[in-house]
Amino acid sequence: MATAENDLELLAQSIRLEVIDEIVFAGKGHIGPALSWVEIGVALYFGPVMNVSKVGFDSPDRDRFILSKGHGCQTLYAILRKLGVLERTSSKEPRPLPGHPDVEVPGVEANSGSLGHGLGVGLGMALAGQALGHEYNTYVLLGDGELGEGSVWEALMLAGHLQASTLTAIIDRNGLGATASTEDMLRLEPLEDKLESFGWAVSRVDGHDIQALVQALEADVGTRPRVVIADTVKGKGVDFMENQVSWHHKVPTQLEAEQARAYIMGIN
Amino acid sequence: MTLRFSDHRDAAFGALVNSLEEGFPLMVLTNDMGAFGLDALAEQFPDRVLNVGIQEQNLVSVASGLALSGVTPVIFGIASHLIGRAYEQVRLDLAYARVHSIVLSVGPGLTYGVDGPTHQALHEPAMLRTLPGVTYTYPTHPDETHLAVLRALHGRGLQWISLDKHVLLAPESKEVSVHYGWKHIRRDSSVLLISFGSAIEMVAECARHHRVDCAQLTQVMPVPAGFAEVLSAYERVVLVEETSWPGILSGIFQSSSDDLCWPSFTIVTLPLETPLGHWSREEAWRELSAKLKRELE
Repeated sequence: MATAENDLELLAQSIRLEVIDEIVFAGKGHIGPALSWVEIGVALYFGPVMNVSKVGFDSPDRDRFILSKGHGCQTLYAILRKLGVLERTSSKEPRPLPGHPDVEVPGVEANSGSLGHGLGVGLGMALAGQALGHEYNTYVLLGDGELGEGSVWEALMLAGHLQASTLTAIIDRNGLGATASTEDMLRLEPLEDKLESFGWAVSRVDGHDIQALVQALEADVGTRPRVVIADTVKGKGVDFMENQVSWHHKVPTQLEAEQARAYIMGIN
Repeated sequence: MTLRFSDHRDAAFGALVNSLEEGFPLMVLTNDMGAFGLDALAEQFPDRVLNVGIQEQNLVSVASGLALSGVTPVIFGIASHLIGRAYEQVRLDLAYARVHSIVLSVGPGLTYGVDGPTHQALHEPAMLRTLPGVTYTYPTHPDETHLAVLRALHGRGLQWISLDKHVLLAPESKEVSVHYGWKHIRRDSSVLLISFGSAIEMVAECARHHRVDCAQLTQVMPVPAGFAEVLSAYERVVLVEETSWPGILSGIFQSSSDDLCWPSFTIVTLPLETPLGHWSREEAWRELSAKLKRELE
């Protein structure tokens, strides 16, 4: 069921706090990439764009989500905890979750971590739904740096050709790779034009505006697969992490974590 | 003996058609590879065949998505391209994802030797050897292929089946004992020659000439039931493989059991430099035969 707009924003804030906690606890993680897609995750699971919170993770008609940019998984884990699918880490047996999604983790639909695979896997899921007569949508979140992988364009080409209308790709367009801006390394723009030419219905929104994301993800686009380019900020929510390549996979110190939490809660 | 199927591809697609007729949820994916049997299958079940074009990596990822959602993918493509270009996807999206999938890998070894190194698959067994949960089958008789595909459909994990162009007749000798996954010709020798794939024809002839025992693996990985105990009873085992040095069988056997006492293994393979020489398959088999004869003399 839909939650009020401010509730969703509070949820996003809570997820960001959990991301910080999880990465500090694990001693590893990609904090910038995790923080950039929080609103996207909230829109999908709590908007809710996806039906999985209603039908459950065991339903063959559940919508699927694949985090192709698997290094941002702490956000996914936080979402799954809030849905009650993933148990909170017990203080008696603390054990970090995998650094990239694994199907052994409840609620994770596909392994990811080696970039460039998720869209193809998601296309396969969409095709399976059609073959078996199950009505579900498949959502795949890609990083913008990930678009350098040729296999992504193979999947884009095939999905466009097949008019895989139950497939939605979301691009976390934060503009940064691990070491440099995407446009300095491997120019992606004009991205909308490229994706349109592959047969996709393209929209571009503020990736931190939950309502705009929900509208874009639910818009009727006919028979084409859909792609939403979500303009985001890497490290969103923490002033000193925003738009900084250094926070791609740096682990915050205890002091930095406290400062980060303060920024997220709007105290700082 | 009359073959039910004229070649391995017909046998494989025959098994798939039978299964589809029984309602088995599968889909065949190919990267622009053709076959009469596939054409026939596509005509009967058009929504169960997907030709993705020349994109092996995405093909395997799509297969994974199908498998994760209840449809068994059957990938049909050329061995060198599937295991090479799409190795990352085979490794992560099929093997590590622990999904049930089938690969019909056409042109193992030097089947396409004359086409040059880009189409040779001497590296295929070694790359499969690195993957957990793989069942690697290399039938040499189309009836074996038919059975292998049916078993693969009802098996688990990644089922990799090599489809050669060469068709070997099933051995009719009374000396042959046939088990699922392996055959054994006993001449009460203390020496056993083991091979897999089409090279077995040359190996069996060497064994006959030198009056030594011979075994063929049609299931290469994992070691088929009962075989390890048989080979551990020999004093000397010669492994003959149409692969690059050092082959895969010795590692497969020794890792299959800590309890057995293994004989000394002699390994006969093609040199690593083989792909640089544009060898034909016949040249390669002559090389293997010459090496094998030197070992036995």
